[in-house]
Amino acid sequence: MSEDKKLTSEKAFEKWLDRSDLVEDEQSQQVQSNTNTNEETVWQERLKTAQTVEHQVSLEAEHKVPHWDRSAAFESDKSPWWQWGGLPAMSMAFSMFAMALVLFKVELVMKDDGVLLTFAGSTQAQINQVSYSQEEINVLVDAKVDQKLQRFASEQQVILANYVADIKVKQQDSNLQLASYLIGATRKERKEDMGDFVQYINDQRADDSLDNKIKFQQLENEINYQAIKTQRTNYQPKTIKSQNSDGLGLTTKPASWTSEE
Amino acid sequence: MFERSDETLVKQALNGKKSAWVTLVKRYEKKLYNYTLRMVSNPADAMDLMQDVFVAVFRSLSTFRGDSPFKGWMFKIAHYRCIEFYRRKKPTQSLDDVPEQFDESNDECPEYHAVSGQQATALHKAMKTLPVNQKLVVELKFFQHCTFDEIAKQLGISVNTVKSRLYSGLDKLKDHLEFDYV
Repeated sequence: MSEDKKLTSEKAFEKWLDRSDLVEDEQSQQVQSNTNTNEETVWQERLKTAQTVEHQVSLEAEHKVPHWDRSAAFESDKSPWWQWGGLPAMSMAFSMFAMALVLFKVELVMKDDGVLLTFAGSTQAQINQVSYSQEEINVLVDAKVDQKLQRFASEQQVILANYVADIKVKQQDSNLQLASYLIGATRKERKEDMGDFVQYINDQRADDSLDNKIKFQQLENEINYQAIKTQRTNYQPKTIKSQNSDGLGLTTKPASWTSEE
Repeated sequence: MFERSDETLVKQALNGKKSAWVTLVKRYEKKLYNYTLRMVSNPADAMDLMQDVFVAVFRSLSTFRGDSPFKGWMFKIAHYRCIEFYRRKKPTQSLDDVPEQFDESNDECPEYHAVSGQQATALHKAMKTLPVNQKLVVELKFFQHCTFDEIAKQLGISVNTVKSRLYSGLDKLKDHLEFDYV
């Protein structure tokens, strides 16, 4: 019976500790009610201790964290390029390559027809070898000069041909412009001449008409004068009245003559 | 405004985003610091232990699969680092023994008293008398409100062992606590 009570108290205490909140009070009461034996006293004391601890935990305020470098633990895997692991090995490889170039006297000669890679000073040996035969050098130089000259001549021919073609085109343009100008100028001059000629004719006609007018005026005056003179010399008023003023049946003025003219 | 989840922050931190890691640290540093402070009872050691835990968490971050909450996973690491801390301090002392010398030295630390509240001092003093294993179970039970099963899982021990350690701890605490309020 006592063993059963112990088990019940222990279970109730465990449940209380595990926060079965809905039955907390009931279990707490159950634990508190079993106060008969020494075993129960032990559980009672444990319960009190647990409650005290809980009470003090609830009163405890959280402490502030002192300032510290929060990113100190952060170690990124992405290292900068200059910390790349293969860099020393690559550096070593390039050093070895450079040493090999120096040791084997590697030379890289740029030529007109390509690039020449030589080892152990073979180029110098070739040069030295060539320097021994002066005639071959002369022949090579002549051939080179000829080749250069031919190339220069062909280039010049091309340049000249282009120049001639340009000149021709320019000349054609100039001729065309000149012809256009001449035609235009001739037309203008003809137009001006014709205008002057017409003006001259008109002026001439005006002069003629004026001249004619003067002549007619003189003639009229003369006729008038002759008529007056005749009247004075042959004064026959009755007979003359029936005739014209000039006595010949002619009028001194044309039919269309006006006093203004 | 929109708080990112722990899992998102972990992924971003793994991708090399430092700000995500700092956010994660800021989120849990207070709880972790208070935990370490209760466990080692010395602000300087608590700070060292907290930083040690965060370093261990960051190094193990790639192993976090998100099956369990990040907080629990982090505190599991914290428990192990705490036990390691005690083993490193006193290699010859068992974790079931009371760390007498260690606690005595900390009683004199004025900094600790400065940061401790009046109400909590009695409890802290009482907890110092507990062996590390019992202190760990009391911490998990009363400060982090874990069930027996959760404690057993976190510490990798059986539920019965957890109960045994807790009851022994309570029996020891009883002698150092006042029950005036009850």
